Amino acid sequence: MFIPTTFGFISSKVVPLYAPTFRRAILRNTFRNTPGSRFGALSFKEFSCKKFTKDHEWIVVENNLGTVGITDYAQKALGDVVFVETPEIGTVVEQSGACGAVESVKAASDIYAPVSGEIVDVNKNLAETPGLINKSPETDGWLCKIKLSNPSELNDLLEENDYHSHCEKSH
Amino acid sequence: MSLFFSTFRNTLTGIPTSILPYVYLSQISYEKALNLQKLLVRRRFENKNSSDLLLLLQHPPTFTTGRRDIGKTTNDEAYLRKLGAEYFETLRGGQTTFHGPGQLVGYPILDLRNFKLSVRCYVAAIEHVIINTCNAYGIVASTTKNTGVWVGDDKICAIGIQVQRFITSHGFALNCNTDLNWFDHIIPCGLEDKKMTSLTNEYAKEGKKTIITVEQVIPTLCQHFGYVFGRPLKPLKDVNNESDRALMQILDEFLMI
Repeated sequence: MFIPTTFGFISSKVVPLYAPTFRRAILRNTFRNTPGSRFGALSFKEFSCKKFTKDHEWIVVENNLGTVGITDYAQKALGDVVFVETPEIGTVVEQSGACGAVESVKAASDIYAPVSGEIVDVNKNLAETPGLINKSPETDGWLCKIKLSNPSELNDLLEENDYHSHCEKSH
Repeated sequence: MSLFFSTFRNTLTGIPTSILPYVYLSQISYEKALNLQKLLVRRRFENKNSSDLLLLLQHPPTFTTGRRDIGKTTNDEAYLRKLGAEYFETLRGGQTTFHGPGQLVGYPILDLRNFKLSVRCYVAAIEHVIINTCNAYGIVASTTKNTGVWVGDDKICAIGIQVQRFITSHGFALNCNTDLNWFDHIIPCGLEDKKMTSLTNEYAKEGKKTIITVEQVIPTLCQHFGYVFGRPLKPLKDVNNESDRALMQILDEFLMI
């Protein structure tokens, strides 16, 4: 699958090996506050970053707005998704608080918010096409968008390679 | 998301072989059983050393529906309550079903991490337990594309699960000598062209007049549950460790209310 980055998409086959160092190197060289720099004095957190939870949710944050979904690992383990319960817009969630559920094989599995904040949007396509979770779990199958109330909570989450290590240990 | 990805086998390997306690609560109202499950699940969240437990019971006539139908069944509820049954909307997977006397209901309160099971594999494991139990009575049961356990085209056991932070609740409902006429008032599990059956009904089809009761099935089901999940089952009152004695006390106090 393709991982969204600030500079477009990178194949997931390449990203896990060096993505954190790659991104840090690019950002160090590009976002220095030097005259003539295209990006001026923009801070790192204003650009999108993708983080993961141990419970197999992902979040991509851009301009303090987080898009949340479940991972490809999670959808494979669930089986065919037949129903998605998204949170209500306006709901205030706490980090690790329940924010919806996914149903497959007559089992409803709760989803937990990676960060605290307010639900400002939900993916309405999932009502008619819950299978988007299986088909595109980390892109078109996003679940909800959260306006972050405490961006420092992102530090509690896993980078991609740490998340993959976590998945391997779970077997 | 509370899950692991694992290949399911008939007998799971590489998992703890400690005793899995079970308790038979006889007939208990749906509301009371629901509150008990919430208590036990919360206890598992708060105390990682607390035991897995299999609750076995029967309900008085009760219709329940699952998560995706919450708020959509007001008319059905009014009609079904007039029949003299209770009605509950729940957070489990699956759609509308019936619980009543003669039906063996099982609510495994398990930490899936103890078994290295994904949600999909856990449901498959439950189905295998039921199939093996039916086979013990000479009834050939199987799975189909629709979750649950079937004898030919007729459903003998419904399954509906909730998973919260790896902890399971709700479970399965195996018809032993259930009055199947109750199911005529609903579309069981949302499948319009399917009928329900029971162990006793399958015996009757073969001309056998034996009634198979819930109490008779429990030892067989526990044996196969232990085999499939790789942990022998024992009545909670006979398990002699501090954690399970504490659990017994919680159950005693809860049931006395």
